[in-house]
Amino acid sequence: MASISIIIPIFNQLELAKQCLSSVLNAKVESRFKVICIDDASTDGIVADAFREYLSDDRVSIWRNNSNVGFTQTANRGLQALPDTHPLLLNSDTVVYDHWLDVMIEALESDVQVCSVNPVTNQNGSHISCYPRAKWGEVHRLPISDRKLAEIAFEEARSIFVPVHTNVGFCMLINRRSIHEIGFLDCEHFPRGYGEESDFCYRARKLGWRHLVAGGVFVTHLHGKSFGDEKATLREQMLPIFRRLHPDQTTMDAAFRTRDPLNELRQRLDFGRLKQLRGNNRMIRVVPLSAALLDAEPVLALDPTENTDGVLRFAGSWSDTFPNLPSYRLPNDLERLALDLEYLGYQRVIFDEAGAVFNEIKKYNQHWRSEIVSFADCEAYFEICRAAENNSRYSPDKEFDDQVVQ
Amino acid sequence: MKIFSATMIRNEIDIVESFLAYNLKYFDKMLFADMQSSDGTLEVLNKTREKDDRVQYYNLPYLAKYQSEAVGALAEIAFCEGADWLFCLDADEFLKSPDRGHLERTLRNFGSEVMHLPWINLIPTTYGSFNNFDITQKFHWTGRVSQYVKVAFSAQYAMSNPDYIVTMGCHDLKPTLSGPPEGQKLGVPLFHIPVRSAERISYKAANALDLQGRKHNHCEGEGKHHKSNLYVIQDLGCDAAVLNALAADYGATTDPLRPLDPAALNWPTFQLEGHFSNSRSPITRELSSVELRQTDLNKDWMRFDMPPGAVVRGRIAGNTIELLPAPMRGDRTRGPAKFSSLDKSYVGRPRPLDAASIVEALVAMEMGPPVDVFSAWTDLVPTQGALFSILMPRRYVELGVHNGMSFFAACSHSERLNLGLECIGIDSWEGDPHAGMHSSAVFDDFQTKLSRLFPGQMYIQGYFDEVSKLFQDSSIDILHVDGFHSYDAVRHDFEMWRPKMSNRGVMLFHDINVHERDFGVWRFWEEITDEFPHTSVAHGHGLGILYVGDPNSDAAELFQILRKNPILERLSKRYLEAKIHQQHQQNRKFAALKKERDEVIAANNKEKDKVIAANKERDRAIAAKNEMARRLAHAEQKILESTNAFYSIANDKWWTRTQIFRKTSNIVRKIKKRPVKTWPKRV
Repeated sequence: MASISIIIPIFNQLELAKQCLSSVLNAKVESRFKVICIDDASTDGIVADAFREYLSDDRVSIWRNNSNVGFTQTANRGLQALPDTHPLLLNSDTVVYDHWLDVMIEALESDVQVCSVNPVTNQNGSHISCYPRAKWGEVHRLPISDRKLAEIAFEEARSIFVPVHTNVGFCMLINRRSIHEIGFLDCEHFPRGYGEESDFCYRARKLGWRHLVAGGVFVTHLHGKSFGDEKATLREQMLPIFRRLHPDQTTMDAAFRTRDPLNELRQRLDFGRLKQLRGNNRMIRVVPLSAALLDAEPVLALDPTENTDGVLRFAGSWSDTFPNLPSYRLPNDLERLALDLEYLGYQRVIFDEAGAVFNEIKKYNQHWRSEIVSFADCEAYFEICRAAENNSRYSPDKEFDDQVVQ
Repeated sequence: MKIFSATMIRNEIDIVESFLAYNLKYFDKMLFADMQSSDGTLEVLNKTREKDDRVQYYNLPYLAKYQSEAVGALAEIAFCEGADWLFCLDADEFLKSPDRGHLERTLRNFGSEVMHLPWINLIPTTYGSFNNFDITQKFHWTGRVSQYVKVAFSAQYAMSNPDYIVTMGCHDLKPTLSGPPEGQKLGVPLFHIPVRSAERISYKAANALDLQGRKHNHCEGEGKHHKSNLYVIQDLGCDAAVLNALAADYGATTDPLRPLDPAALNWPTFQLEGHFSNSRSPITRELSSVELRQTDLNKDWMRFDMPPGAVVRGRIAGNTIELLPAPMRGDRTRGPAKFSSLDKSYVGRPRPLDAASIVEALVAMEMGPPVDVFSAWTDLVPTQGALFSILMPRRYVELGVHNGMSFFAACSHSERLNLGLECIGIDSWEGDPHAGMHSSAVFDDFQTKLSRLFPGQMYIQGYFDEVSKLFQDSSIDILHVDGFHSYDAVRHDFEMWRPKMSNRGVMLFHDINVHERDFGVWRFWEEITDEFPHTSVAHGHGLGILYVGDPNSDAAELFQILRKNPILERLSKRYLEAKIHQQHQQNRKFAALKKERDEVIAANNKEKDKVIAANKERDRAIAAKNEMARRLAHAEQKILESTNAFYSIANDKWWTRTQIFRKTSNIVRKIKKRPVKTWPKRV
C-alpha cells in the first residue's frame, strides 16, 4: 500500500493552485500517486476550465462540491476517496520539488506507529517545521532558491526524522491505519478548517501514534494565502475550542519551544547551504568579528568579547540568514569544530591579518598550544586539527603553504 | 516482568466472561474484590479460577462502595506476590495492546512509574439485554479518547511511596493521603464499554449511587455521572440514540444530551479481538434487575461504622477483604496495620523499687503539661508522670482523646523519661453528650498539634469497637478509658478491651469522682475494685488505677506495696493532693498577680487615654491656628494681587496712548464751556 492519494482542496486563488498542481506533476518521484483536486465551490472561476490542460493526465481527477462546505469537509471527502492509499493533504498554496514524496513515504514507513509526516517548510509556513528560524515572525529572504534548498535538504538530511507532538496540515502525509482507528478530521468542532489537523494529531498521539518531520523534504508554503482575511478570526474562534478539547495544548507547545527538537535539523540545513557557499575552497580564514561581516565567502569570526576564552563562529555578509550555525567556545569546543569543519569539507584553517587576530589569540595561547600543529609566526597562519588524529590529511604540505604566503 | 490487574466487581454477569477471556492474555494474575455478587458473576470467577489459577478473588462483604480501599488491599497483595506493574481496571475495560509482548515493551520504555490509561468509550451497534451482551460486535467511537483516565503503576512506585492511595474510581494515584495526584502521562488506552443495555446502565447507576452514599468517607462530586445518567434515562427514555450519546462521552456528557447515530456521523469502528466463547455456560438462573436488587438486600452484609472522614484501609484476611480503621502518625503517614502482642518476658524496672526510682518518679511529677490545652485532666498529669516512671510501659492507648490533654501529657512523659513508649490515641472526634458535641475543628487542632509536637505518635479515628480489632490480645500496657462516661459504656469498654491488656496491664479510669447527670464511672469503679488490685486519686474528677495484669509480674509489686501499707497509700495520695493544692495555690496567686497587673495596665491605659485626648485638643488648636494663618495669608495674597492689578492698569501704556483723546475732549469741553474732567495721574 505504498501508493498515495494527494488531496488538494481548492478554494479560489486558482493561479496558485495551478502552480501547486503543476509542481506536483512535474516533480521527479518514484512512488505512484493520484491527485484529487476538490474545488470547494470557488467563486473566482471554474476549476475544471482553468485546469483543462491537466485533465488528460490520468493521475489527476478534479471534483467539485455543489456548495461551499469548508476546508475540513472537503478534505474529509478526499480522505474517503481512495481507501487503499495513504492520503496526503496538500494545501493549494504550496510548491513541491523533486523526491519529495519518496522521502515522506520513507518517514511514514520508518516505524509502525507513525501517524503523520510533515516536510520542512519556509519561515511562517508552519509553526512546527519551519526553516531557517523556529520563531514565527519576520521572514528572512534567503539568498537561495527554494528548489535549491529542497535539493540541499534531500542530500543533507534525508535520514533525519524528527518526532514532534503535532503536525500541520499544509502538507501532511497520513497513515491510513491511523484514520481507520481514529476517524476523519473533526468537522463538527472545526467546520471551516484551521485546527482540525492539529486536533487529529493530538487525538492520534493520545492513542500512542507518533508524528514525524521528514528532514529531507522541503516544501514551499506561501502561508496566509490559504484562508485570506478569514485567518485571524478563524484562529480566534478555534483556540478556545481546541484548548477545551486538549487542555495539554499550552504545555505541549511550551515544551516544544523550549526543547526545540528540530534545532539539529535546521543546523544540518545551514551546514548544507554553507557547503554550497564554500564551493571548491578548502580553506577557511579566521578573522576578527568586525571584518567578518564584509566577506561574501564563509570565514570563522573570532569574537573575543563574549567571554574570556573567546568564541569562534561561521560568518560572512550573509550571516543573518544562517541563524542555526553553532558557535564554538574556546578551547573546549575545538574538537567539535574540527569535526564540523571536516563535515563541511574544509581542510585548513588560516589565521591571517596578523595584527588583530594574532594578538587576540596570544592571550590564550597556552590553551591553544596542544591543538596547534604548525605555526609560522612570520605570516601568522596555523592550522587546527585534533592533535590526537595527527594524520596526513591534516599535516601541512609545502605547496599549500606557498600558496597562502603569496 | 509480572503484570497484575486489580478489579472491584459487583454483578457484572453480562461482561465479566468477556473481560476475563480478553484480558487474561495480558496479565500474569487478575485479582478481584467481589462485593457479594449474586447474578452469576461469582460463579464465572469461580469456574475460571478452577481452570486457570491466574484468577484470584476476594470477598468484600460491606454494603458500600469502598473501591479505593479494596483496590489498595489488592495492590498490597499483588506487590507481595511479585507484581512489577499493577493495572487498576473495571470489569467493562479492555486493554488496547496488540499482544503481551507489546505491552511489556511499552511498560519498559515508558519512562515513568505511573501510567494513565485513557478511555476509548465504545458505542455498541446493537445493545444487549440485562444479562447478555454480544462482545464480538462492531463498536463505534468518537475518534477522541475520553478526558477520564484509569491508572496503572509499578512496584517501584509502591515501594518509594509507601503511603500511596488509589483514588475512588481508580482515576488517579496520590503519593500520600493529602498530596496532589500524580501528573498525567498517557500510556496504553483502554476500551471502555460502560453502556451495554438500558436496564444494565440504570441498575448500575442506581446501585452505585446507593453504595456510594453509604460510605462514611463519601465526598461531594464523587460519582456524579451516575446521577446524571439516571436523569438522562428518566427524561429521554432508553432509545438507542440516547444510549449512544451516553456511551460516546461517558461521564462527561453535555447538558442537554443530544441523541446521536454514530453510523450516520461516519465515526470510526473497532472490534475487540479475543477468543470469546459464544455460548455462556448455564451457571445460574438469570435474574432481572428488580429481582437482583432484592437478592442484594437480603445478603448478609458486614456492618462497618466509622465517623465521617476517618481514614480506612483494606486488608486481605483469608478469603475476604477486611476494612479497618487506619492508624495514622502525627505526620499523616500510615502507622502499622495491626498492633501485635507485647513480649511477656519484659521486665520494666529492676526490683525492688529503690530510692532512685522514687526520686525519678518525683522528678516525673514535676513535669508540667506539654501544651497549652487545659482540661479536667491537667491536675492528673503529675500522677500520670509518676505512674509511667514506675511502670515503664511500652504501649499506651487512650480511648477518648478529645483535645488531647492527657494524650499529649503521655507523649511528653515518654519523651522526657526516655521510655520509647508507643502512644495511640483513639477517638471518633465527634464528641459525646458528656464532653459536648464538637466540630471537626477539635480534630484539626489536635492533628496540627500532634504533627508539630510528636510526629511519630499515632492516632486512630474511629469507634472503639471497630478499632479494637486492630489490637491483638495482650498488646497494651496502659489503657486509659476516657470515652463516654455512662455506666454501660464504661463496662462495655472494659470488657471489650480487657483481653487486649498485657501481663503488666494497667487500666486508668477517669471521672470516678463525678456523681452528676448520668455519669456512671464511679458505680463501675466501686464494682470492679473488688476483683483487681487498684488505687486511685480523688482530685481532678478522680482517676482510678486498676491493675489487670499477671499477679506475679513485677508491676504487681507496686500495688502489693500499696495494699500492704495503707498508710503509704494514703501518704502518697496526700502528697499528690498537696501537690495539686500547691499548684492550685500557685495558680491562684498567679491569677491574682495577673489581675493586679491587668488593673495597673488598665489604669495606665486610662492615663494614656487622657494624654491622648489632651494631645488631640492641642492638635486641634494648632490646626485652628494654622487655618487662621492660612486664611490670613490668603487674604494678603488677594490684596497683593488687587494692588498689582491696580498698578498694572495704572501703568498701562494705554493711558499714555489715549491721553490725546482726553486732552482733546477737555479742549472740546473748554470750547463748549463745560466743566473739564480730570483723570487720575499716571503713577
